[in-house]
Amino acid sequence: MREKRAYENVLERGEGVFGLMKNFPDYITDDELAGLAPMVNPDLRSTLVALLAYPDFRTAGIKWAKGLNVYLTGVLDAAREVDGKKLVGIPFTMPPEVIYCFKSLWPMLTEVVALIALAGLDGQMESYWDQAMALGVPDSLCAANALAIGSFINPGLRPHVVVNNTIGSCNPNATAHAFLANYVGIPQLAWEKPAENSPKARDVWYERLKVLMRQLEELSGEKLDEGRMRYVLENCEKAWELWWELGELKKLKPCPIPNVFNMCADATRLALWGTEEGVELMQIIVDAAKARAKNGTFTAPEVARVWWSYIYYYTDFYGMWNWFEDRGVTFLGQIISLYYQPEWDVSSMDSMMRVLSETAFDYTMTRQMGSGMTSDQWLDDTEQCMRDVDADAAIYCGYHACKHASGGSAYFRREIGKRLKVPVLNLQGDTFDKRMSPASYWQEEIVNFLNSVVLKGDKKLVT
Amino acid sequence: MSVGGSQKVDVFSEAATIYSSYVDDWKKKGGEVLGFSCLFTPVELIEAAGLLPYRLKAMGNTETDLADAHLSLFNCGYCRSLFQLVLDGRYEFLDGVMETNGCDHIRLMMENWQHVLDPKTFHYLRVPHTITEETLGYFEDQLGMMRDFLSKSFNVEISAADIKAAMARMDGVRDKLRTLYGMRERTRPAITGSEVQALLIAGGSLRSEDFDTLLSDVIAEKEGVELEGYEARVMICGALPDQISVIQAVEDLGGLVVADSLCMGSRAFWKRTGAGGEEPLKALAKEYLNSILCPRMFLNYVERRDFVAETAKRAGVQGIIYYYNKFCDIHGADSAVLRRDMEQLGIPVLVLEAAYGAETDMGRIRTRVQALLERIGR
Repeated sequence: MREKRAYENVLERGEGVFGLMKNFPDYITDDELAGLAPMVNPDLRSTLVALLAYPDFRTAGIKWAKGLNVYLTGVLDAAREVDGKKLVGIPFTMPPEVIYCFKSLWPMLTEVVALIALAGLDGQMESYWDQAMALGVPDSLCAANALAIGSFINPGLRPHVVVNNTIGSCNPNATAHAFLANYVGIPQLAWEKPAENSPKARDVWYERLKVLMRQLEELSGEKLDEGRMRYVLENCEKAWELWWELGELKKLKPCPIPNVFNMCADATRLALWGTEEGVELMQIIVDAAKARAKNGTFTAPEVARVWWSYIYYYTDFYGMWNWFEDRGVTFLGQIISLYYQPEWDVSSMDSMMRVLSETAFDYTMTRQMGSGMTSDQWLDDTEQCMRDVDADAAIYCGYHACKHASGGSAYFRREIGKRLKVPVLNLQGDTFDKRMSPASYWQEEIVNFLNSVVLKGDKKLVT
Repeated sequence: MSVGGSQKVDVFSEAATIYSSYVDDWKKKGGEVLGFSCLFTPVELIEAAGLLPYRLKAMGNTETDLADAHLSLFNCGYCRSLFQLVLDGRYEFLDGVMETNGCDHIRLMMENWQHVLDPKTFHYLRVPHTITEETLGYFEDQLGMMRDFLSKSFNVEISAADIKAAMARMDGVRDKLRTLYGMRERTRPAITGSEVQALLIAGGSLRSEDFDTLLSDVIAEKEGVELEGYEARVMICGALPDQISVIQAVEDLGGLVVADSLCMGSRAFWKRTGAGGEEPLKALAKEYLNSILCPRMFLNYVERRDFVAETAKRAGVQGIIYYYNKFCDIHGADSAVLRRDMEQLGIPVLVLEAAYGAETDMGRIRTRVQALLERIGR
């Protein structure tokens, strides 16, 4: 039986596992990796090997893992109120830079907590999901959020407050965060998205941000500081520049960004935007991709360029990203890779508030799910992205919690086929729970799809 | 249940029919019908435009093959069943459709409706999920847009006086519903839960003046009734959009449903206080956002919980059944917190998650209801 500490909370268990990353050297050899990998649990092994598989990206992989640890350390410090800090729980639709505007606050993304559990904890999120189900939470609720519920009903560290900004855009997510507040007793702050993208809706959203900022001031005991905001937004701007540079690199054929680092860039945007570490991580990924483009050190000849019209499966890092890359299949991005940088004006407090408000308004999913016509906004945005990177196909990971996405997926498949003449694979499964859809299932489905309707001539993939 | 003196209305039949004789009469007289699905749709504005507001029914339909080509199996059965009926042409008599963002399932059902059939007269009313100064102002603007849409689409002037008159009529209906619910909560109740549910479903596609008359008839006919023979007083909560069979099953087993917190039921009207003297759109915005106790709203759980607890106490409820359709996260999550809190108050709670309209599920439901009734010591 697995030895347990006195807690069963994701944060503290994650600290135990990812704390080891601090001691990693900047580079390890193939032999060292081969020696290290068998020493850790299979789920952590898949993550480590995925990040460290390619020698030209190995330093980037180590630094990214360390960066994730910096984020986790920030979460833990804030939860423990080190130096008077406080921890703010947020969904993935909330730009973390809003929270970083306060020195004494730190954002805890529910979905990144889920990622930590999936990436490194023995048994991933299963026991937490089971605990949430035992409370009576419906099994159709978002598994990432159910995991957080299951985690935080345990004794141990918790966020001081939850900012619920999926209200108006995503029912399952907003409902889960409200449940967390109502059941566990964590105070909830609301930032509701009016269900349209009109100028009036943008104004209402902006006014509510001002209210939220006042609430965060009260929580932190800290007056919102213009200098701090500018510092955070300047970090954002640097990271944006690198983001768009990465976007240009994605257009190259073959794509020089390893599949797993496309995901790492998304996670960096979600967790560390506005921090120096966020800039550093983006720089590392961009530099490594540029070097690969120059050196031509590709893993395999690129045979297909695939856009995920929804989100990846996160339960097996190696099986998701490297396994396909080894077969020449490039994963160019997902819906959580879609961001829009607003007009940039950091000249005053008001203009910076506008920047934050507009960033969040057009943030991933909020822009699509919170629009007046969800399915069309999703389609239009994805179409543009797929055109930019010249994708051969799209895969919709049918994550059952996302009722809005699944309700529009048939329409998406029909319309993207008409507009781009590319096929779409609709998969059913669970992004966060491998019991629902193990890697072998989606690997086989995707290979069959690519072999049947994407790959030309004699090129065929094998499972 | 038939009511209404010489011109008897079979309430159960009206509730169970999409194109009812009432709608047929209305259409034959040249009347127009506007369909909607969510209790946050201000029917007062529809009535002020001289239309018949029609609350869409899925009628327990379980054939969803056409709808499933557009919606996923993870969308709730009510929406898929309703969309199937739309695709089957059962709602061709509608002259317009009103969408609200009640939940993600409804939103996507309505979007697919637009993609597939492109109804000419369609409007999306955005209803906020929180109550703040900004959202109240936003909703008031939305109501203005809805009024303008109705005015333009149906070529009718809608004055403030028209809206106020419709609001007064709806207030009258709500007063009568409160009276009826009072009769239901008596020590010896006058009406069964399934009869009330049938009335509410039937009333969802009647003009307020006619629903008011129907309610008056029911109140008059039931006034002296004292039901006997039941063994437990039960409250039903959650989402039971247009289903009667679940309540009937409870009552067949010896429970009597004496109170509810359902979207067709008390949740929609109990706390409504009336139009007051304000500008009508502002008053409507406040009424709808402040008074409807639906879990689609955020930051108001305590109010919802207290409402259920107070109702249960007032009606002498011995046990609560929380029912919701599979894949309804809003009610599913609500049920888990509410169950904990009601159990802490000493009220046994049975949570039932079931596929919409699935009669094959009734055996399981009956068994679980029996277990609840045994638990509360009938």
